[in-house]
Amino acid sequence: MNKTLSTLAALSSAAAAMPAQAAAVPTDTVSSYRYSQYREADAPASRVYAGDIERYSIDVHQLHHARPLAEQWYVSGDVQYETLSGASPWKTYQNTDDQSVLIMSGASGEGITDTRIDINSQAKRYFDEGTLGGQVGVSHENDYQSLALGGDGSLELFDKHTTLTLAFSTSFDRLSPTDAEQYGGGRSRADGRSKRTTSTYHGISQVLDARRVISAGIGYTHHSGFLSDPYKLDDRRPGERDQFTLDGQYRHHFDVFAGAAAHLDYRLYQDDWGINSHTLSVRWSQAFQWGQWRYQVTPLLRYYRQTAANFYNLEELPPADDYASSDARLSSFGAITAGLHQRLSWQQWSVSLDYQTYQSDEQLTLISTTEDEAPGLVDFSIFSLGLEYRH
Amino acid sequence: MRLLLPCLLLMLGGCAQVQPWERGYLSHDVMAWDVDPMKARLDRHIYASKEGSSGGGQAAGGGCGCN
Repeated sequence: MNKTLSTLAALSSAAAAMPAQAAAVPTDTVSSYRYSQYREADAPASRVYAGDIERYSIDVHQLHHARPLAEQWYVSGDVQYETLSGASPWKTYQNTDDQSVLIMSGASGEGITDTRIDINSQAKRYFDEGTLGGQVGVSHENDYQSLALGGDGSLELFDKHTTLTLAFSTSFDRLSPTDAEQYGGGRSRADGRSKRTTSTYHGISQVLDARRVISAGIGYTHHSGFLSDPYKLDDRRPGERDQFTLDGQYRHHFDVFAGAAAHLDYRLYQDDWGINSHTLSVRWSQAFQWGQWRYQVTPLLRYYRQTAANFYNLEELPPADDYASSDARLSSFGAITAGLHQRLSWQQWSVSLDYQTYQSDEQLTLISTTEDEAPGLVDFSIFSLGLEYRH
Repeated sequence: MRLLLPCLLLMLGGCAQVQPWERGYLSHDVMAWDVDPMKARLDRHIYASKEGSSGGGQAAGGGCGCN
């Protein structure tokens, strides 16, 4: 029913997997599995007018296999399987006491359960001065299908001190909400409709010296089609959306124990729905070595803030002839993530453990805070365990 | 001089010529753009599903009606 996490957002992420050093054809065959538990905190009971307070709980299984092919090719495949249960907000509105209250799913007595399977594959050809790659992915749910295609290339310049990257992707999605005839409304309007996304990204990375590297990039994504949320009440969004990003990443190596690095990532985002956001992530990645054992620990702090969409509306009955949405994700809010990633490696094996906790609040925007409460904002945690074998 | 252009592009100073044999630090696991690519991929899905913005670092890939 309601969507789980997302489809194929990482089609062009192969470059991100690499160390900051310039690309060379990988020689390892890698097989890995990861299990993750995603748990959302309950909705505030005092603000739930109707429906369940117990929000999403999602289990995610990921399989990855990558290997060299011939001398210049590297291919990989990923499968992701998710199971979901729980409730999500259908609507938020301000009551006569000026309090924002929630109508959650489950008000009809039916809980939500869903599964999603996502399969994608990538191939990359390595040349002396760069790479060319292609990706294809499909995602299947009861009520949502997606096919995505992508291509990317990189070019190394100035004795491999500078790498230019270019990526392109497009996706074709089709909606078929459950119980569309029974519920009508947005579900009925969405039934059989499609979404199209085209996206491009241009990046540059630069070796500053033997211990420092930096990258920057600009991205543009265009969405068209049915962009409203079929499961939310009174949700009417424009049929087009243009998104722009500017981002930068910085890595700095230090001689601390078996090696350490400071990570600094920033993203500026703007779209034509009126949402502007800033995302800042800071990590310290620390390695220790005892013989063949290697332990890497990386704490993370991430801060996010965004402005509201122009049509974000908390009226109980918004005008039917205008755009409107009470989706908390389109509200003005801020969020803090704290996390810890640990990896223990021995010979060709490694096991990793990751925990993150995410807290969001309308007051965490820090500046230009809003008077509007957004009880639909979500807090969640992710616990994740991974196993990897390289040979 | 060959480093002048990219350095100017980035509006940064202090770029140095780094020979291939001097790049050991840059290829350390602690220097990866993503600490764990598989987990990073999942994180990007989650943030894109729970926040009003998405993208950065790569092309967007497929759409999603996540809620």
